[in-house]
Amino acid sequence: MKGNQTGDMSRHLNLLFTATANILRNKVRTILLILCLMAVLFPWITAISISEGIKFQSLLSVEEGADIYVTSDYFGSNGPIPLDYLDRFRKMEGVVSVFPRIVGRAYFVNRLATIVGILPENLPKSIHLARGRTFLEKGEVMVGKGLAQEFGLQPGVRFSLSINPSKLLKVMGIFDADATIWSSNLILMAFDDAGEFFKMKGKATDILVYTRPGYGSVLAKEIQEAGWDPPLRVQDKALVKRYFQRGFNYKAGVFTALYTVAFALAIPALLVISGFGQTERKKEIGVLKATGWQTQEVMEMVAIENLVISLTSAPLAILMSMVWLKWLNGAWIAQFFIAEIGLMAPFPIPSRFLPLPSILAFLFAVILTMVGSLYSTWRTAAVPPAEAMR
Amino acid sequence: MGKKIRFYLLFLIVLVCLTILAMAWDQYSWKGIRSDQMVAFQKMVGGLGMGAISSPIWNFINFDPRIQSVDDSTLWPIPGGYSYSPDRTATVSYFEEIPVNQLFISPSPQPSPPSRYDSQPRGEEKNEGKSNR
Amino acid sequence: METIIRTEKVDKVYYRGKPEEVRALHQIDLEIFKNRFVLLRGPSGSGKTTLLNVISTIDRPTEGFIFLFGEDVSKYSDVGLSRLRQKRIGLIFQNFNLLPRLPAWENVSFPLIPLGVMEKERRRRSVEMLTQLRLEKRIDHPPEQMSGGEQQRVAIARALINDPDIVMADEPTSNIDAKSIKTLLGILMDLKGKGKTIIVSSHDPVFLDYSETMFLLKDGKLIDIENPNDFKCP
Repeated sequence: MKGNQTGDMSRHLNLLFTATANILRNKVRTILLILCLMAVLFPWITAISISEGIKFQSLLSVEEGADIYVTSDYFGSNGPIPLDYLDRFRKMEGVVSVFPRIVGRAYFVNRLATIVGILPENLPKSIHLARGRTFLEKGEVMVGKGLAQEFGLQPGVRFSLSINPSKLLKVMGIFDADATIWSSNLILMAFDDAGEFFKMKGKATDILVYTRPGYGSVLAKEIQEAGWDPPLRVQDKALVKRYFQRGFNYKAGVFTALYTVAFALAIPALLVISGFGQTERKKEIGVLKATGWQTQEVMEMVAIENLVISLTSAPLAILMSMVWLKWLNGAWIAQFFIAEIGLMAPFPIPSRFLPLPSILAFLFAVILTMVGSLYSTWRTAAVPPAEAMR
Repeated sequence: MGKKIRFYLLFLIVLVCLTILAMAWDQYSWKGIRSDQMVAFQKMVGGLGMGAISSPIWNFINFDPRIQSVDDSTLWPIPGGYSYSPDRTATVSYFEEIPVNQLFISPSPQPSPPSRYDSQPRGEEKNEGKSNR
Repeated sequence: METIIRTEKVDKVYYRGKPEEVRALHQIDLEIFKNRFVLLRGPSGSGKTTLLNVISTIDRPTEGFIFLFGEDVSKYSDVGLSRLRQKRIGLIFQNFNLLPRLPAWENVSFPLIPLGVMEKERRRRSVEMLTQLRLEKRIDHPPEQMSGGEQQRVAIARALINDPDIVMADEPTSNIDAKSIKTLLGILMDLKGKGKTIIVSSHDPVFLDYSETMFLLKDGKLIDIENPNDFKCP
């Protein structure tokens, strides 16, 4: 029994070494196959890891954001909300703090910028900025690194935008690139400045309500059903998170489905490279069978060959993607997965290499190579050797 | 076992281990310093952004500009309905909004550090003829 | 005398039922005894190679039975036939069928791979076999760097590596020179001396003096003639 097991082990080891020798012997075919697999896997791994990086940052934005967001219901859309509500919400049981916020958009030259107005007391005591300082006085703003880099903004530069040409803004600080991708094209100013800028004094785009733990959903329901006139739109953290998860899963699913089609289209190419129906390989299998190899052993050797090639391709694709994203900051490639960033991103491209996509990448490689060769090998190995050698 | 085979198998083991290590390092780095900056930023703005967009571009799903001329889901910490863009990796098509230049660089009342805009705003030059929609 | 191979009404038909149908073997009944030098003789297209393929189990008959070592192998599964070839049959092909780019010793040793024989031992046995066949200087050479005769000796070494009971050679003289033919005959006779059964399919008269049993084939049928030496093989 033990002898049999040792024999079996030696047989499997022999097949592994023979398969590896075959791979090394057919260098051109091997290199082409590995390059082909890498070309297929690399964009997928890159996309999924960027998506995972953004997902991480998004989750953080949900976790660190408010517990409830309230706006006016403006014909079914979000509308500006009067600041009178602040006091009303503050009085509700379970509410810890309430802040107004303005989130708008305006073109900065040809680049759309996000304009955010917050209460100066919401500024953290210590926030790491790339340059300058936080705003302290009226008209002072902080800008994102993307905008600063693209338009050469520096602390001290003054500008105004055509929405309100009379509102002069002065750059005081530039955000650090590490502070999420959404700080890149941001213009952050005091709440009052933002109100003046958009000529919407006394109104906020949304009111952020922070609650005691466990009160979020209850309070959201309470605000929703209080019968305000005009009605309010209320969304709590749990709801945002649900959207977030559903959205990401949906998008990642669609992307993977599209990519699976691309994978399927790559199979014929791999079939050609892996030598589908190649006379030399057919003859080789015939000779192996004639000299006593069993079909199962031939199949095992070919499967190991594919496994070794997949084991080479998938890690190489992962490492290449990693180097490209971490060291080269996704130069050129990231623009296909993050909108509006151009050739070189002004911020560190968020990318996370999780085990599941990596395992999937390996499995994709295995499936691609196996489909390409196992069936043809089996067909050759299953016929009498004399026929295969003919 | 030939030298070449031994070398290749060793290379394969090293490659797989290296990949696993690199991934572990990546996981660890996400838990480290980077998130501090993100937390501070998100706390400050009250939660902002969810998708693979660093600037609020137009994001196309179903679009009728007569009903809503901009897609505010890209600005909003809470995405609006299904017109939601967690990332553009799977978006087959989208409209890019026609850029409108709204920038005015005012002459500085006080001396300030030099800016490229003080002499020739690059964007204005680039955007000539496109503005004033 | 111990019967080692027996066939009963063996037929082999290619492209059966199609317009291009070819009947390569027709009702072949033969019996081969142990430790004999057997010659399958006949002109080109007479079915020698097909018969050799069928009795060596690398091809299946369309009809009929084949008994090897007393067992009906026509009922054997693919696995069973592979095992049988691995342990008891050594094959030498007309065009040698060596694997290109593989050094001689690896070409000789690959039948040992599925047996779990590790590389060191495989090399030792192959070198021993190649040395016996006077190929000690060609151990690490691929077939492309060898002459026809040398390639054939590598093929013989591969056929013998598992110490088979039967050695079958298909047209062994067709791709080698006169000197190599002489060497081949010596090797085959030597093997016979070691108790192996030798079956050669050839139309070359050089084997006539060595063979103890001869089967004559014409148009896929075994024929009987009084003096086999007069049988002409164009």
